Amino acid sequence: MKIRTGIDIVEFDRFKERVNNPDFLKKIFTDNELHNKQVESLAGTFALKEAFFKATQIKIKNWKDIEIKKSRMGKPIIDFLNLNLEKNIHSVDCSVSHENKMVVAIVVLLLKS
Amino acid sequence: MSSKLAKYLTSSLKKYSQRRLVSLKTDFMMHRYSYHDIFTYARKFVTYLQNKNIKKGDRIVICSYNCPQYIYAFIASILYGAILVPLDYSLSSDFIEKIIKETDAKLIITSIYKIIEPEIEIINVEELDSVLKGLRKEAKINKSSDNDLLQILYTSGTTSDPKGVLLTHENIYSNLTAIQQVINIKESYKFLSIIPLSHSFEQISGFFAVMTSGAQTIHMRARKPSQIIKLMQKEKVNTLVTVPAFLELLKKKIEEKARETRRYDRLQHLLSVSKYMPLAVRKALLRRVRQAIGKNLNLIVSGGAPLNPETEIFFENIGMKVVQGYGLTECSPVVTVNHENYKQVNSAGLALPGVKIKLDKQGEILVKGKNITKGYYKDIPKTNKLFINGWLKTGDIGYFDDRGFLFIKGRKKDIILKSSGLNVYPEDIELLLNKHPLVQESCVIGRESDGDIKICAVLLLKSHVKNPDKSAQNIVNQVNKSLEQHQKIQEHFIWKKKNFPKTPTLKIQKRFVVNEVEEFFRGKIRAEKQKDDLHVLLSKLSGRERIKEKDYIFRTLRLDSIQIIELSLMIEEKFHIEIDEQQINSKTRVMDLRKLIKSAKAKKPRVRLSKKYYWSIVTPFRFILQELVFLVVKKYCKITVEGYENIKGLEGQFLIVANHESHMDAPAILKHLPAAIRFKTATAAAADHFFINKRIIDHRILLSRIVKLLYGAYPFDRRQDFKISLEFTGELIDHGLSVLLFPEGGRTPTGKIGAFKAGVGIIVKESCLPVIPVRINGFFNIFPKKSIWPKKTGKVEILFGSPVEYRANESVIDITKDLEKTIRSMR
Repeated sequence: MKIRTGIDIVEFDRFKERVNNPDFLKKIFTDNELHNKQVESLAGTFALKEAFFKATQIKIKNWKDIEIKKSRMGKPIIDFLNLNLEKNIHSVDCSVSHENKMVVAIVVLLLKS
Repeated sequence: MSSKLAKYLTSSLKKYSQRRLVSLKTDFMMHRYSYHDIFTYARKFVTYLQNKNIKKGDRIVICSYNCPQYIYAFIASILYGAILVPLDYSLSSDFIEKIIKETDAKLIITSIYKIIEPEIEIINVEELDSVLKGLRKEAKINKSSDNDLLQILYTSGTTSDPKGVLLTHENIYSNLTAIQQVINIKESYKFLSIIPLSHSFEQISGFFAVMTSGAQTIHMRARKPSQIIKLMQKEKVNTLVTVPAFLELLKKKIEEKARETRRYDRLQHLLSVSKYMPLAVRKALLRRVRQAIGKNLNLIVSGGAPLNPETEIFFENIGMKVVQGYGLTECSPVVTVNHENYKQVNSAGLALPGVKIKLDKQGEILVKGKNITKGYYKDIPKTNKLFINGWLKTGDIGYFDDRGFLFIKGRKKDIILKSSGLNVYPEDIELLLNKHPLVQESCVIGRESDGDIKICAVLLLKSHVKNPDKSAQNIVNQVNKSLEQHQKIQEHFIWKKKNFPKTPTLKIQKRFVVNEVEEFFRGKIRAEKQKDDLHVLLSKLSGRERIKEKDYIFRTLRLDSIQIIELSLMIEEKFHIEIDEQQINSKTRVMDLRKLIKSAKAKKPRVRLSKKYYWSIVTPFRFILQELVFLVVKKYCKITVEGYENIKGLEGQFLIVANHESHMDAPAILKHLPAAIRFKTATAAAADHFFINKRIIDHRILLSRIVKLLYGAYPFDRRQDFKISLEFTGELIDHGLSVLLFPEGGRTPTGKIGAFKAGVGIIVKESCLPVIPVRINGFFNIFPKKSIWPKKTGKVEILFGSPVEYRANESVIDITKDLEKTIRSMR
């Protein structure tokens, strides 16, 4: 077993300026993620995806192959399709935190060796 | 009891029932709606409103791009008597929330791409169809009367108080019927809608006039000019309702293309001759020119702002009819219009029947008629100012010629009209600028550049300002923060003289300011032209004046990850290519980025779609060939089919999704489909395996033709040409075909089912077609990958599942995973 981590931080104000651009939204978020219209939560989703890419170190960033869902308790869960990866991934965990003007996200992967 | 408008709409919805009313082009699909579909959805939407406890007279805000859902929600609220408040899609969330509060709206219809958090009920157009699916059609819907308010249309910007124009059923009805008396809209007309439906001009021409004449209209989600032109060509659009700025852009495109192909002189020569020719000759003569923007285009309706006479004549000379009118939202909106065959260039046209016009002593145009608004929403002082003795004051100055044609000389209120159809009121921006402590006075003008009207601020700074260039940039940045997207200042200019030129009444004489500013920008454009496009993009993003080739994207220019995404979007827009952001890393310099763009640009789509293989004349040949191939298959395999009852007698369009074991899968599946589907199915086949020639003489040249004939195969490429492949799929579905997909993206190398790729989820979600899952079992042992002929004989199972329908709000990932699970579990 191997552990991999990825972390990302997003400045809230800078992110907020971008959400008026439908092209930006369309490139990054799946339709389901966009149903949640809170900017904070979208910033968190963005940070999580970025952190996931860092942890997996995959070559082609296909933003929509990953979807962030919420558990019943409100904890984010990462659902992803890039199944060549799934063969090696044992389990994934992630966490997001918001503070005033910053959003930070961390992803931990447990890999099958 | 029901209003004349409601009756008129219902009767034409019934009359043209089977004709197509509106189509929406999304990323790669065309979604088509007939008059019947729209009427059905409208009646279901009435039920939806009742369920949400929305009553007659309640306000509903609609803020979305133009789409069929917009149309049926609009019709439903007209029939139901709800008051619509259409807002432009690009307005900020703050402004939208302000209007919701002001109008006390009960519901907002918007898009998932609009990030707003209002405190009222919210529904997205993308999910509306599926939400309404289960609801009943309301029968008693005509509840409105002529004097009821139909909509509140907001015309002004944000900084000055927004003005909501009140328009009743009667207003719209009188304007609509008057227009139809003058302009004959035929059933064959195919409109392309490019102005937002929150604009009264688009409402009356692109919606009301279209749907009461049996014509059809096309909406599109994207608003980039290149995509608009592509769609115009593909969909054979013949009528365009637009604003002058967009026509300027089209004209520029044509001239650019002529220059590129070194035919500019010839074009000018042709234009100078063609004006003396009759229309038919003009059309034939300039056929090639018209092809550049869509050869079917015949009629252009321009409104919103005066059209440059040169442009009008240009389009007339290349064989189109140009009709110009004059109007304002307060008049619902048309006041005068030119007739198709009785017109005067540069004139606003003749008064509409039922509309009275006169000029006052100063030449101001006054209007009276049933199409005139009652006034502004909750604003009595402004309403009072709008009228004089029962006549509406337009604020525009004009004169008539002796035939009765109206000419507009000047406008009291100066308005800048952008190519998107949005109005910008300079005084809104000037007000903010003048409040700034460093600004003495300011003047905002619209300047044509790059095919759009750009907002240019001319600043007269206070005398003590030390670093004018830097301060001016700061002022603009600060002011832009409180402006709406379409109002944002795009260019600025520092006025070096002590004062602006003024009239005796101390108004700035903008004409003189414009002249001086134009002079300056002409010089600047010459300098900019020598600058490189990529440098311009990068300096815009990084805020640095000078960009060097050796600069690192991350380290030197300090772009962050969000900006990298923006950079890739900007590159996409500017160079019409996609680059992979992942290739931009800490070692990337500007010159490396340039190489990336260059190599992406060199990549041409390697595959083409030929529709002729789907003509019905091919079917008998396909039948014979398929049967022949199946004879071979049968020689090696003993096939048992299970679940045939699930697909027996099915008709219509489906997506057939199967696991992929061998080259025998496709013929075996097709053979066992019901005939109604079998010969109307296209098969997605690996582009590199069947279609892309790697050598000059390649077996694929023959192979591709065989599979196209045999299975109706078309190239699908998961990697490089993925978007194009999706577009092919969309076109085939639009053509009425079912599609057979193998979502593993290739034959299994191990005999086990591999992971499904997201492409299948995207196609299922976008097309909304039911899916027939198919499980193949046994071909792998007989004819595995890497063999060129079946190795042995054996038993094969084909299992058909019952059709599955997915709802539009299910995610691509869920659909993909669910399909994989379903097919795995079939035994």
